[in-house]
Amino acid sequence: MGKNKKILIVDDDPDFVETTKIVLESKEYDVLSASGPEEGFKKVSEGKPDLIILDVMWPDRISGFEMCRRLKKDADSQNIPILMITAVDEKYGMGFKNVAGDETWLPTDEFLCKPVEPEMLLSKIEELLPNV
Amino acid sequence: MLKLTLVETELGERIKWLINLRWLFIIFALVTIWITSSVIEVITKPLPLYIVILILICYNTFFRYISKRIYHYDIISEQDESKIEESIRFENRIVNFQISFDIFSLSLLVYFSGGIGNPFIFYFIFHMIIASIILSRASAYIQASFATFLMSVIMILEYNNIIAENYIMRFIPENIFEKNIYYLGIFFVFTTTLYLSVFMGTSIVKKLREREGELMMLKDSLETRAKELRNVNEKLREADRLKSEYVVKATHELRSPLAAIKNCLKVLTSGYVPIESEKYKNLLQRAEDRADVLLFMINDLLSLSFLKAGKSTRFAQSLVIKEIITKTVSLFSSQAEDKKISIQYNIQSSLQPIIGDRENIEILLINLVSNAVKYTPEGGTIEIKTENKNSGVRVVVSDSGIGISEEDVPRIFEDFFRTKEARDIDKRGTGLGMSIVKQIVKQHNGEIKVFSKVGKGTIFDIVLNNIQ
Repeated sequence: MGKNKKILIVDDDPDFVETTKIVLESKEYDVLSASGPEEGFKKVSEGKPDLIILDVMWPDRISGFEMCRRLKKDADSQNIPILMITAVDEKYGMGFKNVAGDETWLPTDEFLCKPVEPEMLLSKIEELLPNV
Repeated sequence: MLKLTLVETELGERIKWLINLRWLFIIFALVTIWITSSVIEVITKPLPLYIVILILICYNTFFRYISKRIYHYDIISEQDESKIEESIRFENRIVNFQISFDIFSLSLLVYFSGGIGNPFIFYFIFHMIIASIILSRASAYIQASFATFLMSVIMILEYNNIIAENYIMRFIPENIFEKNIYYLGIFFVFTTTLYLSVFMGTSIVKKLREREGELMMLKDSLETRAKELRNVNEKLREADRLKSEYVVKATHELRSPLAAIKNCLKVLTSGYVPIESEKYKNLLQRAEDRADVLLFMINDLLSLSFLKAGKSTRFAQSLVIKEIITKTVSLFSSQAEDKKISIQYNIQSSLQPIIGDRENIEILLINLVSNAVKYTPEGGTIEIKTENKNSGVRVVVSDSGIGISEEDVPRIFEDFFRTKEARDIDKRGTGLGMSIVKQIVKQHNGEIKVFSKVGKGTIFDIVLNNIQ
């Protein structure tokens, strides 16, 4: 299913990176990981991932959002689908989903809330990845 | 601030009322003169009366013009206190003058329409009532005296035949019985009526003005109270907003480890890794570690809430700080040894005891020393110094650790804040330790200062005083 597809996980929580990696690798995706935006940008340009899983990194959420915007502005990375992950759902008043839907502000493609169910994660990734 | 009574603020309005009242009087007087001279013919020479009315018309027109200027004063004077005072003085003078002039005009009308024997003489009572309402008590009495003076002049002049008596035909017989006594009687009743009118009028108005004053004061205090309430409400709203923000933040912090635990367990239960494998054990360990963090965080949050609510003082007792420091250092000695960190402390024997919360002081020192050990690289040093400071003690904990950047220093006492460097070194911190330290220092009426330089180390300088 995931053959030859490369996924980059940008999250500062090593446990989330580890579990997500296990789930993705079980479906034969190649997984890269980065613990922050800086490392993330580096891995994007070097590893050319097919999809990015990006943590909002709240409370320093600006780094996650900022990274998302910069990726979508950059010609090299703007076509890479981004799946955004946060620990706080919009039902707690954060309204991330609304923000995420606003193309001008946060042009992310999909949005998931932690803890992420493995099946849900895999199906979202399949939806977002361009068909081979 | 200049305080105006309602009477003063409404003076301009009352001048206009007086002018309108005068127009009514002029119409009434004209009709009366016409009826008495042409219809029932009791007045034989109406011309002087018409002249007096004409003067009244001119003079009222003039004051109507002036009153517009007064209104103008009211508007411009809103910001300027001296202008308000000037305007009020001007209005008072105008009202006094108008009433004096009215009394004089009425005296002329009375003289030309029958003199002292004219029953219309009692119309002076209206002036006295108006004066009592508009003017000060003293001014009202002066106006009453002025009216009495004018009437007595007419009476004396008439009595001595210096001016002609203008008998109203058929109304007052020429050969009135006992003329002297009649004149004196009229004068006595007239004078007492005027003064009594002023007395009663001003008494009633005085009471009213007092009530107005009380109302104004009540209004002022109500406005002040309303303002205070608005401020308190604003502060409460802000506090509520901060509280909500805090709840969201705390929820996020608690949810993160819980989500990680759930992720680890889900991956295990869904069979993504084979049981008994290294990966399996590793994920279980990760889940357990995050469960520990969650537990630490809940405990820290609980202590912090108690400290913030001021409910944490269990038993304030006399504490020998030296003992607590020695105990705390011994807790971390093996950890420090592993990293080849030397902990130096030399506590003076003259260090005075303080009245404090033993458990909290221990928590404070454990937080500071454990941070120092955690964030000091191998081979570094940690130093603890103490001294007496007034009735309290000063404790300085310095290390040769990684330090805190200039922009992060002011934030280290924020709940849940952790520097990036701290997170890189230890994933398990709660970000609440320094908040707890700050609250404990506050509980001991002390102060805490931080000096730090990235790569060089950090100094925490704390003063602890007796708990009151």
